[in-house]
Amino acid sequence: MTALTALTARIAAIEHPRPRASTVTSYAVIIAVIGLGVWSFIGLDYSLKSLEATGRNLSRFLGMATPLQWPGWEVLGTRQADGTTTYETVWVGPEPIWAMVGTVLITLAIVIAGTALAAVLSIPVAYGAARNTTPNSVVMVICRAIGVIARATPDVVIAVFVALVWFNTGTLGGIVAIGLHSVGMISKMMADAIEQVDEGPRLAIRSVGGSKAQEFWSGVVPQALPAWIAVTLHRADINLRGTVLLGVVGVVGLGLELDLALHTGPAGMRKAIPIVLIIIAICVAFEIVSSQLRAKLLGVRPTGKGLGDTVARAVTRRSAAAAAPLSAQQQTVVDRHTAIESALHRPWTKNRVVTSLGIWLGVAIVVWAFLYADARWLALVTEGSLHLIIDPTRDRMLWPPSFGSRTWNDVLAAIVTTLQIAFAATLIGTVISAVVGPLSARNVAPNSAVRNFFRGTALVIRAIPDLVVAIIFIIATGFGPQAGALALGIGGVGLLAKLIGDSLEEVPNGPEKALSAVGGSRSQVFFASTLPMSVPALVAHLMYLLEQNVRSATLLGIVGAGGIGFLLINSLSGRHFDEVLAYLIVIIALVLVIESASMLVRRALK
Amino acid sequence: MTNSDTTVVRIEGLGKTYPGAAFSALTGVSLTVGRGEIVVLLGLSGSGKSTLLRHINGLETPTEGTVVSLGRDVSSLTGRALRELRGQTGFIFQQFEIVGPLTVLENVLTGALATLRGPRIGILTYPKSLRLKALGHLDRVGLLDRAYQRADTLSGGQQQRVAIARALMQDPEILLADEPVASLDPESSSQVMALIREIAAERGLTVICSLHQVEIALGWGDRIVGLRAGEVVLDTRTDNLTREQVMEIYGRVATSTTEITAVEVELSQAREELLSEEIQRSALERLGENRVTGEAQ
Repeated sequence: MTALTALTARIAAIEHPRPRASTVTSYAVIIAVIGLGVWSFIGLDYSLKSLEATGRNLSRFLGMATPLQWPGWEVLGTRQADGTTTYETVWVGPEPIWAMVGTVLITLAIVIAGTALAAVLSIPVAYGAARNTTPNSVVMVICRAIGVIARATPDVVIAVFVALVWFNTGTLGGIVAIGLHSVGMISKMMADAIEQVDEGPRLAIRSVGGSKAQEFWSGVVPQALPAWIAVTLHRADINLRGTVLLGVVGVVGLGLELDLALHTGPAGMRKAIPIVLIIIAICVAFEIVSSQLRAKLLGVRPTGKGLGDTVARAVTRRSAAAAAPLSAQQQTVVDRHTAIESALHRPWTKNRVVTSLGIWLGVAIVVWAFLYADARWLALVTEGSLHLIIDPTRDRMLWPPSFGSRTWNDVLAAIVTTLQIAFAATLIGTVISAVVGPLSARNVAPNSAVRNFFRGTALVIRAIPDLVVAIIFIIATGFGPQAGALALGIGGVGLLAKLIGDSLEEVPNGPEKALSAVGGSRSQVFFASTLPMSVPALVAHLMYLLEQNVRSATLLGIVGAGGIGFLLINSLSGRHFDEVLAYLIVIIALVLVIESASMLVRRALK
Repeated sequence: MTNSDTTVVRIEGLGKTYPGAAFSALTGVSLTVGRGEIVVLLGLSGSGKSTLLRHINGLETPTEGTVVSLGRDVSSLTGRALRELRGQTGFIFQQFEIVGPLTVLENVLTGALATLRGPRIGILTYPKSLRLKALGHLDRVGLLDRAYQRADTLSGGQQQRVAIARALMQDPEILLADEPVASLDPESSSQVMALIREIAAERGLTVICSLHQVEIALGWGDRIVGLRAGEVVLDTRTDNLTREQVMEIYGRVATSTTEITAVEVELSQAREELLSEEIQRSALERLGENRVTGEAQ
């Protein structure tokens, strides 16, 4: 008895260490996501009544949009005596099909040309923004600011701006919009890659007396080049999906076709779903090609999750692979003179042929894109009507920024709506992924059939461009934030569920084995070992999804989900550039806040 | 040496070939272990010690032969029955395999999972009686004051003691240990080995422990089973076995040159260790410290 009381006393005296910052952060993030998500659900009015209305709108849209009218066919409706309408699908010849092929090609050309432009512009920006190459801290701050502003300025805004100032310049607006906006992401990723390069070669070039520029071109570029290509291909993927939005503001291509179809009554509506299916097919095909390219050219595992990781892997693989063949070559050398002579020309090995063909094909495609898009580049210098936006007598003037007739309260309410869409979408995505993700992990799913089913589900959702689905969803179910949040939330499952599944599979499996040796059931092992060991990774993924959703929610506003994006598109269509500028500043601030929060959380998790 | 009433583990003609492997991991292994025996499995790495241990609690399924543990045919068990058997069999791993981000106490509590239904998250989801019991076990392994620390903040030796406390939580009848001290420094090693021995004596546990250090094995187990390339080549009590005998057997089982080199290295290390112990002992004696000699007797 005394022994027991002694133990009890000692138990009471055990010290409770303070929880780690990473633990506190993890749980704070999880609680915040749930709390804010619920608050947003209430705020967005997800009542039964609004859901009913959504359902009604959806069925009305489907009624109008069917039967589907594919290019090459015409659907004719005939009103019958009893008041119903019967439809007849007739072949009208191949011309509409060629027109559609042309639309697809011009879309691809704009995307490729714009992305290539961004890739080139990103090099100096990344050079200045990377800590180890920047000339000085002022340049670094400027380059990083360029990146942030480019990232936060929607390409839609740039497109409208270009269309106004350089009136009637065709595809120019789209290319410039994609080109400038994409600099944000490509330069940031490339700066990260530059900061991760091995410092040895640079040091070596410095020590043989190389200039700073030589150091960059010979010491850094070869190491960061695979990253540059990988990021550019990835960005091209994103830009292709983004063209749907650019269509809303009049950039030619599939987006514009879709927008026109949706605004020309039932006859147009019937074309809408085929166009969406074509867009999805093109996006999926493009993604497959681009990830194949990345895998072939760079040895990047296309399944890699964070782009930074992918990029880092690419750099290390490349350097490891490059080291090997050299020694083999040296061994075969016999006669010194012939060896030197033959070494004047690099031998055409199979690898070199493939790489060279790849490079030339890539260059050819980019050149084709610029030629086919046929943008009037000269107009940029000759025809600009900048006076439109710097003339103080017009209300289109850019400076000073103002909210126009809106008050700070209106703007704040719009920000809240945007955030609510993002939070609600994150909660929806998280809840669904919390089931789909673990069940798609090999070490959690009860059997391989279950695992394959859920992994497949995540893959299919991931393949479908969520923004495209969101746009269709918003239009189909009636404009409003609820529809936007729902579409974004379901779209997020593709990303989050895959990341969760991968993270759970990466957990060291020793403790799992130990707990099944203890006699724990599958679910017990999951909650006692697999889950706690992967919490930091899961929270990081959650923050990543939230970040993405804030950005997407802003864009969705442009197509009618409300929020700050809605205010932006309103001022854009009224050509009130002082308001546009004001909202842009708000959006940039919003993105900055979310990104810094995300960065702080990630740092705290380490 | 054992009669059927007290037999805890009976292995007959056990063979195991991993899919796609060129060689069998185990061939024709037969072994009977009685209640309360302390058995050491000895052999070079790759000789099949771990595979053998993992068959006893059903972590592996045999290609041929039978394993009867606690009166049950292990390979015929599935689901709840298998979990029940595992629940009565403690397993200590070389790499401890405790859940780093959880507290020490929660790690110990997971030892009781087989007796509970449904998943548990957090200490408070376990009944109070179990919590008290877990704290008692932590006290037994000398880590009570670390109960609420994250398990991955502990040293290797401490983590292995947490794993032992987790095994105690199972109220096991058999304790299997797979190279329990291979990742530990000499001082933690002797602490952990002594702890396992003490606990086995306190609870009358049957212990089967694989080791590769002859030195530790000799003074520690009641019975030594030598494995080589998946076969039992030695099975004897340690009572009157000298170190030289074991080493000779150990040396004899090594046929390939690499194995011989490995044994030679081990022998020379053992010699060095003995030598340095000798030096220390004589030095301490000179200093008048006779506690060491007292312990050695």
